Formats: sequence, C-alpha cells, structure tokens
Amino acid sequence: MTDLVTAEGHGEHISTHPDMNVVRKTAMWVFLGSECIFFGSLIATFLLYRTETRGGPTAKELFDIPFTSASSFILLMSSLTMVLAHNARERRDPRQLRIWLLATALLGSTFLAGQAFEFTEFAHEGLKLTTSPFASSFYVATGFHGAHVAVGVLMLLALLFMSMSGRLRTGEGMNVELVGLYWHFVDVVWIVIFTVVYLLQV
Amino acid sequence: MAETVVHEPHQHRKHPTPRDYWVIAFILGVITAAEVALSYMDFLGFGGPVLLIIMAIAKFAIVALWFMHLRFDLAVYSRLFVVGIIGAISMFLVVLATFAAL
Amino acid sequence: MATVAEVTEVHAPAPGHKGLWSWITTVDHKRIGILYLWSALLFFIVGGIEALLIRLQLFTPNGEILSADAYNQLFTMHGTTMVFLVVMPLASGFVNYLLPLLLGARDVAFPRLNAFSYWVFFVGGVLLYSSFILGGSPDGGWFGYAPLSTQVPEYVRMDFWAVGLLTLGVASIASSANFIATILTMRAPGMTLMRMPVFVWMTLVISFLLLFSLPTITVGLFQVFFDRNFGTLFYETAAGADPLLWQHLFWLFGHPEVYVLILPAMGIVSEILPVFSRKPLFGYSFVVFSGIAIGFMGFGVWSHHMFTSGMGPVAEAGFAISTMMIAVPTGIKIFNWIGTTWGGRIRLTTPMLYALAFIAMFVIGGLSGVTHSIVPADTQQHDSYYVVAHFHYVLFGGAILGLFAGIYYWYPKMSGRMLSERLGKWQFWITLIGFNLTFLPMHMLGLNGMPRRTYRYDENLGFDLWNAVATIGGFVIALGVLLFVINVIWSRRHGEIAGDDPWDARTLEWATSSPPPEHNFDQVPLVHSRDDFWHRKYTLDAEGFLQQRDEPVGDWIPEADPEHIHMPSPSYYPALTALGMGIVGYGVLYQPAGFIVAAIGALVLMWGAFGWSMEPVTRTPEPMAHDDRHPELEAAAATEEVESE
Repeated sequence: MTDLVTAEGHGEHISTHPDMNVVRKTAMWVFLGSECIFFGSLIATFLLYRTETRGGPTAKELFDIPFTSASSFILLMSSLTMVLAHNARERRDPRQLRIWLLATALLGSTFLAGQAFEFTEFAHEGLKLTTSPFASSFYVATGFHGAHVAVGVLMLLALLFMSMSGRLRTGEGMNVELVGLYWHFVDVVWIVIFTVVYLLQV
Repeated sequence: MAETVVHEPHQHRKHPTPRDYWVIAFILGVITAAEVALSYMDFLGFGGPVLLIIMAIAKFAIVALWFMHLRFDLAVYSRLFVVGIIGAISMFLVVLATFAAL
Repeated sequence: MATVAEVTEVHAPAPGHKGLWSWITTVDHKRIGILYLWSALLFFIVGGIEALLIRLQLFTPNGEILSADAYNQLFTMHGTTMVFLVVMPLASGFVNYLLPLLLGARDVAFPRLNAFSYWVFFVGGVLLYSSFILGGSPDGGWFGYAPLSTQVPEYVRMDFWAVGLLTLGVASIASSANFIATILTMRAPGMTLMRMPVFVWMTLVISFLLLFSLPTITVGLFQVFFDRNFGTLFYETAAGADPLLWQHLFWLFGHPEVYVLILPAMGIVSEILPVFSRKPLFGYSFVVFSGIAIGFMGFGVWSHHMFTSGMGPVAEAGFAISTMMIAVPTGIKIFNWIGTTWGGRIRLTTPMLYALAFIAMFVIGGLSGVTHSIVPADTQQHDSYYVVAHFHYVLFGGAILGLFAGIYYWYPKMSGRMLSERLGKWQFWITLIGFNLTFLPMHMLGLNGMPRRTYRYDENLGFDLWNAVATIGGFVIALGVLLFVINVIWSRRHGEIAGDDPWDARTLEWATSSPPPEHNFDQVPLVHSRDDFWHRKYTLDAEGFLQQRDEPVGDWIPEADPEHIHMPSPSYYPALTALGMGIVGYGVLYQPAGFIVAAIGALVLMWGAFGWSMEPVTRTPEPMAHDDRHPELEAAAATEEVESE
C-alpha cells in the first residue's frame, strides 16, 4: 500500500518537505508582482498630474538631471554590491558577505541622503507638497520609493547583524537572497521613475 | 513535491561570476550616461522619448534577468513578475486613456 | 486512519491548546482559521444590526429613528463591515482551515505570516469600529468617493476609514502571497494542479486578484489620507485635480474585489454539489478555467461602475462589451453545477440546500448584473435601489448562502460534531424567504426611482409598500441568523458525533480525524487522482457500477520518525508586529501629537519583525548546521546543492 515505486512513475525518493527556498522565493516574487501595481498607480497619478502645476514650478524649471543621474547611478551600483553580497553568501564567504552588505546599505543611504537634499532644494525653489497636484504626485511617488529604500536599508543592516552574530540561516527567516530580490526590485522601480518622472518631463 | 510547477526542468545556464556582475554594472552605467546625454538632445523630437523608454526597458531587463537571476531561476518566478508588470502597464494605460492624458 | 470506524468521542484539544495566550501565539492554520470564522461571525451580527437599523428607518416614509448623520455612518459601516470584515474573513477562515488539508499538507507555507495576517485583520477591525466611540464612524460610503471623502477635515471619521482599510489591506496581501506559495509549492506528492479541488483553484484565483488589485486602492487611500491631513491636492478640483482618478483607483480594486467575494462561495459549492449528488463535478476543467477567466476579465470591467461619469462613448462601449463577456464564464459554471446534480443521487442535506439556493439566487443577481452592462439602462439604474437589489442578490444570495453551505458542510470536520440538521433546515427556509422578501422588492423600488443612500423618503412616491415589505424581510433574515447562532453554539456541546467522514465525501480533509490533529495527517497522502479520497473508498465493478471497497485503499508516505513530526512552534511575534501596526494607525490619526505614538508603534513593529526573523520556525534542540561560524559545513552543503541541481 505504501509502495513508493508506483508513485507516478517516479522511482526516486519522494520528499514530503518542500524546498523552503523555493517556497519563499515564490512568495517574494508574487509580492513583487503586486508591488508593480502599487508603483504603477503612483506613476500613473504622476503622469495624470504632470502638467497641473497651478502656476508653481514646473518639471522643466525644477529638475536637476545631472544630480538625479548621479543618485540614480549610486542606486544602480548598490544593485551590483547586493548581487556580490549574494554571490559571497553562495560561496559561503562571510567576510565578503559582510563587506558587500555594508556597501549596499551605505550606497542606499547615500541615495536617500540625495533624495532628502533634492526635496529640500525643490522646496526652496517653491515646490511644496501642497503647491500643486504635480507637486503632490511627484513627492508622494518618489517619497514612497524612498520609503522602500529605507526599509531595504533596515533589512540589510539586520542581515549584517545576523551574520555577525552567527544567526544567519538558510531556509528560514530573512535571508540574503530574498532581501536581494527586494533590493533589486526597488532599483528597477527607480529605473522606471528616473526615465518616466524625470527624463521624459524635461 | 514530486510534480509541481516549480519542478520544471532547470535551465542549465552557467551562473555569472563576480566578474560578469562588474561587466553588467558597467553596461548599466554606460546606458545611464547615454540616457542623460539623450535627455539634452531636443533635436531628436519624438525619437528622443522613444529611445529613452527603450533604454529604460533594457536596464530593467538586465537587472531583472541577471541581478535578480530570473534567467537562471525557475520560470514560474518570471511569470509571476511579468503578470504584475503587464497588468500594471495595461491597466494604467487604459486609465490614462480615459482621461485623454497620454 | 482512513477507516470509517465508529467514533464515539471528540478528540480532546492537544495539551498546550488552552487559554488565551495559546490563541494569541498560535501558528496552527486550523486555529487561525477558527479565529477568522468567529471574528467574521461577530462582525456579521454587528453588520446585520446596522442593516436592521437602516431598514427600521426606512420602514415608513419620513422615518424618525435615525438622523441623516447616523444613517450615513450606518450605511457606510454596513457596507465596509460586510465586505471587509465578514465575507473576506469568512472566506479567509475556510481557506486557512482547509487549504493545507485539501492539499495534503501539514501547514501553510508561512505559519507565522498567517498568524500575522489574522492579527492585522483583527487590529484593522478594531480600528474601524473604535471610531464609533471616537467621534463617529466613517460616513462617506464604503467606496469613499473623493472629493466627498477628502472634505470635512474637522472629523477624523474618513481617516479611520482610510487607515482601517489600509491595515486590512496589509493582512490580505500577506495572506494572498502565503496562499499562492502554499498552493504552488506545498501540495502532497501526486497532487498535480489539475487534481486540486476546485476550492483550492478558486483560492489561487482570489489570491492573485487581491495581490494585483489591493495596491491600487492602497495608493488611493494614501492619497485621500494625505489630502485630508497633509494638504496634498490629489482630489482638489479647484487646483486642477480630477476626482475621477479616485473612482478609477477604487474600482480597479473594487471590481476584482467583487470576484474575491464570490469566488470562494463558488469554490465551496463546487465541493458540496458533487458530494451530495454522488457524482464527480461535471466539467471540472471548465469550472477551473472559467474561474481563471473570471479572474483575468475581472480586471477589465471596472469602469462599468462609472458609466455616468462621462468617460466618452469609446470607453463606455469597451467596458459595456467586457462586462457582457464576463457573464460567459460565470454562465459556464452555472451550467456545470446543474450538470453535476443532473442524474445524481441527491441528498437534500442542509449544505446541499444552501448550495442549490446559491445557484438560484446567484443566477438572479447575475442576470440583473448583466442589465447594468447596457449603458443607457445603467444610466437609469445608477444609484437607485435596483443596484442595491442586484448586489445583495450576488453578495447575500451568492456569497453568504455559499458560505453558510460551507459552514454546515465543514463544521463537523472542525468541531467533531454535526450541526443540527433540523434547526439547519428551519434556518435555511427562513433565511431564504427573508432574503427574497427583503431584496426582491428593492428591484421594484429602484426601477420606480428610489435613490440609494437617502435616509428618508416622502409619502405618496409609491415607495411605502415595498419598503415596509423589505423591512419585514430584514427581520425574518435576522430570525434565521439567530437560529444559526443557536445551532452553532448548541451543537458545539450536544451535536451528533460526526466521525471522520460523515458526508461520504471526496476530498482529502475527510481522510483525517475530526477535528484533525495538529499535524493534519499522520502520514502524508500520495495522490493518484482527482477526488483521491473517493477513489480510496470506491471502485467501479465490471459493469461500470460504483462499488464500495471492502476496505479503503490508498497510498501514504511513511513518516521516518512519526513520533516527532516537527510543527512550527507558537510565536507571539506576529501578534506583536500587528500590534505595532495598530499603534502606528492610531498615532497617524491624531497628528501632530500622535506622531510620537506612531513612532512608538513603529518601534514595536520593528521589534516584532526583527524578533520574528531571528526566531527559528521550529525550536529544535539540534545545533544549526547552516551557520556562518561553521564555513566548512556550509561549503559542504553548497557542493551538495550544486550536485543536486
């Protein structure tokens, strides 16, 4: 009755324990699919209101493309350091892992600092959150992206801490690969925002 | 787990090495530089935005395929993600179209 | 285990399964499911009382019972409650309890995330309902149309609504990702996708619907909240904003949500009809694929809620066509259900009665729905009681009757005892008659021009009779619900002992004891066919007649160490994280001072999340092999992984 050889022609060992890494990545990817719609809504709102400036500053007057490209480049490079961290993890090299995790967190923080600087700059030039629908939708769209980066930095620091205290396990809890997927996703969202919100509006 | 969607045959592609990642990052940097340059070339007219969108798609795809290693992973992940992307793009194109805001 | 031996006693709860703390820290999908079901039942009663107050106010012309303000609060909370705090958690309760059992799994993919979902839902419900004592409940309709919802900043009412729904959204996103991962990766060996019970398929579809529709309303709710609190101009028409954006963002969520509400009931009915017709589901693949088609098309019909907003003929024609088309897969399902009962040996038990009533009532609601796709007709029906009649036929006649069927069907599995059939049949007929008495007249009222959401109407408009009938009907429903509550409570102690398989059913949850042990199955089943459990009990004889096997057969995968099946350990971190979210929610409602509270909440949230990720899933005494401090072990594991690829 419990003859495993009859099992659907598979003669090999049948495991009743799914590969938790696959399970967790599946959940992460559907979550990222869902996040696409989230950022889609924010960007669509921005596109709808991109010209509703109500006499306030317009995108053309405001945006400082060289500055924003520099911070875009920093975020892009944080994806490199993230993937190197993941690679180090795969090679079971804790020292390299910690270096690259720290580098990623630092690059992410630099991007956030750049965004804070940019927002203050714009505010000085007369673009407050309440100036126009354009202003509201710009700040909220890029701000939510910034919030995602901030959450990512927190998770990177948590990973770093877990690695230092020897509590980083495979197969359960947070791990480098999942945080990496989230981090790269935040990066690709910025790729879209950089083009659609910045480059195409100047 | 004998037969599940996630057990499709693995694509036997060679996983990238750290060197490959540096090369990919370099390509991404070059595209970004090209994007910035392009945004100043007003004489391109309608072609400028089209090129910018193509470059953004290229960067997006490179990060997703290599850094997020979709190229080397189970196909079901790509499908789940692509559903989200296509859903977002098509829904919001319709919304913006009803506002005549495209 | 699969033998249908006489069971004379219900299993005592496992040790450590008593007391409030055990419920707060539980990560067992069955107990979380029960928490969902009880909470939903509680909210069902509250939402029902709100409905009764509304009906009392409308009993006579120029009703005096409620003020306009109270009426607005009540109809807003009635809608919000029934959608977000009753039908969704009822479905969630069933999915939680049944999904692993139906798949032959030991638990969902992420037990602690599952507990987190419940507690966030709980916190969201508390947030919404605490508004009644904190300055009045939300009063802008469950759809919160801007700019109505962005005005009157002196009240926090719609802030409660926005924050409450945002919180509930987090719960739904988390559980949807959890369920999808469970279905795609945790099925028992041999359980291919096309062998899954239809209820599981529908769970998969609604999970995708929620994942891809909730983000739009999330963004919309943030915009409304920011408009009200931080002076953003998303919906400020004077500043050039367009409030129609809200309608798009809301209905991009709202219409898929409608299918989120009805598909679980469709899944339940698809499980019940075959059991009580003693026939396999007619056209399984059609039922499955039409469910998927409804899921996809559900994202392409949202603007039929906006036909009167002036979108222009092209958009209106497009959405009219897509709305007519979505009736096709729905119709396919209905014919398949009828085909399932056709020629079957039908047993008219209470669950079966509810399932059959579901089909009939849902057809009425579905047909009146198709009439909305005709743009000129919709323009007449819009905002009238005809619409109210339509969606109550779908949501009460459809979703609630289907969920009642599910409760009667699975209560024996969950409690070990049957619900009283006698009381159940009384309840069924009373509810069905009351339901039609309440909502059938609303078609007439609507076509005669009675508008929705008005707290009183004048006499001599021809509305008096049908309003009186509807109110009487409402109280008849209340009587039915009262009988149901009595039945549930009474049967808990005095119901007939159910045994493992009281209905002679077809799916795997009946292969284990009632209620199932914490680990669900002593041995994981090896699945060979659709309705595997049925085939373990029955076979066909030489002439093709159904023949009960002398003894049930079936493959089980032997457990290496049956004494020590590792189940996830209880954890209070999910509840703590949810509590943090709740504190943040209350904090942002009362800024600027509340920001301090919100900051404290954020710290609690991070504490919970961090503790959660540091805590092992199962507390085992063995040392952890995968550890950074043992790179040589890790390297060995790595080579193994590479080789196995």
